[in-house]
Amino acid sequence: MRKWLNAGLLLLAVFSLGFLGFNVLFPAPQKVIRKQLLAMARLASFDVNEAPLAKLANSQKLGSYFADRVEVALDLPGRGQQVFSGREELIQTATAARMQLSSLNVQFPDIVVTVASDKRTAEAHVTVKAIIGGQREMYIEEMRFSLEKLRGDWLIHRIESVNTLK
Amino acid sequence: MTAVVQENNSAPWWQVILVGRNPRWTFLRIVILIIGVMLMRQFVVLPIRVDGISMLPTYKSNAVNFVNRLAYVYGKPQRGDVVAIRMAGEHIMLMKRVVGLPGETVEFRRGELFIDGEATDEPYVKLRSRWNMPPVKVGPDEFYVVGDNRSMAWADHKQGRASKSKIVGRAIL
Repeated sequence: MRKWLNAGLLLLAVFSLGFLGFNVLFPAPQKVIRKQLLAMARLASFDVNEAPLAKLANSQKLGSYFADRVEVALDLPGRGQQVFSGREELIQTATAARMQLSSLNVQFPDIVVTVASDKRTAEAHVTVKAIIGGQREMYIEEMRFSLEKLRGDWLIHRIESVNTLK
Repeated sequence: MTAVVQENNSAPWWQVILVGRNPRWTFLRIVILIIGVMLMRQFVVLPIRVDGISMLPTYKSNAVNFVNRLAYVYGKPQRGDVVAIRMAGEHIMLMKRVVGLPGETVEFRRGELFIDGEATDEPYVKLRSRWNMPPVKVGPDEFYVVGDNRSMAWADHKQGRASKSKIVGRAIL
């Protein structure tokens, strides 16, 4: 009896390890997208001490998360709707923001990812929290990121504001 | 009998402090406590920290509060309730006061709230400015919510119609 129990436990441990290993080696698209968005938020953040060259380099790096023909439509408080299209325009805007603002801290506290059945497109429903250096109020917005898998990478092709309150 | 008592007390004092007289029972109590807290958080009461100025002076920034998730299981939000509204998830939520109920028309004239064309008293509003908003019809499953701090600029203040499915619960304190 004890022998069977030990064998059963060993089998369970092997299966658990196998499952864990499989998830580490071949993570689910939801996990990959979530990780990617968190990395993007870290890259979008910068502090006062960021060097001018680093500003340029990080803005370029930020562009690698987006598809060539990306569209961004944001409702910014006090500024109305802002629309950017194309990766180059986005990089320029990001660089300009890095030059103008003293610091920026971007966080995505909630990310809900839905992958389409074809596994080629996905949507991420995200709560964006941004704290701009020198401003007391934080900026909170609900956004929808549409992503598509291109050459093995999940790239953002659209970002839009979602009105929590209509 | 005396011998048993002596045996129970034989554990060193530091062990009694760290894991109790019976470590198995202590472990079980901890597990039950953790599961209980998780269930409470998930289904009954959600602790929150208020951040921002939109609910001044009722709620100051950094104040701690709790959201009763069961408040609207059988009932609907009432005018004057302070509710938590979900965004993409529940790590960050909006905290607002319900001022308009389903089917009503909400309007602001020179900072005063009008419901279905009639001025409505709001004793909780201490900070005012001259907000103007044309009449807005609240949908059948919606509630019009707004913060108590009406001295903020209109553009900076999040307010509007929230669907019932987005309302997580009512603020307790």
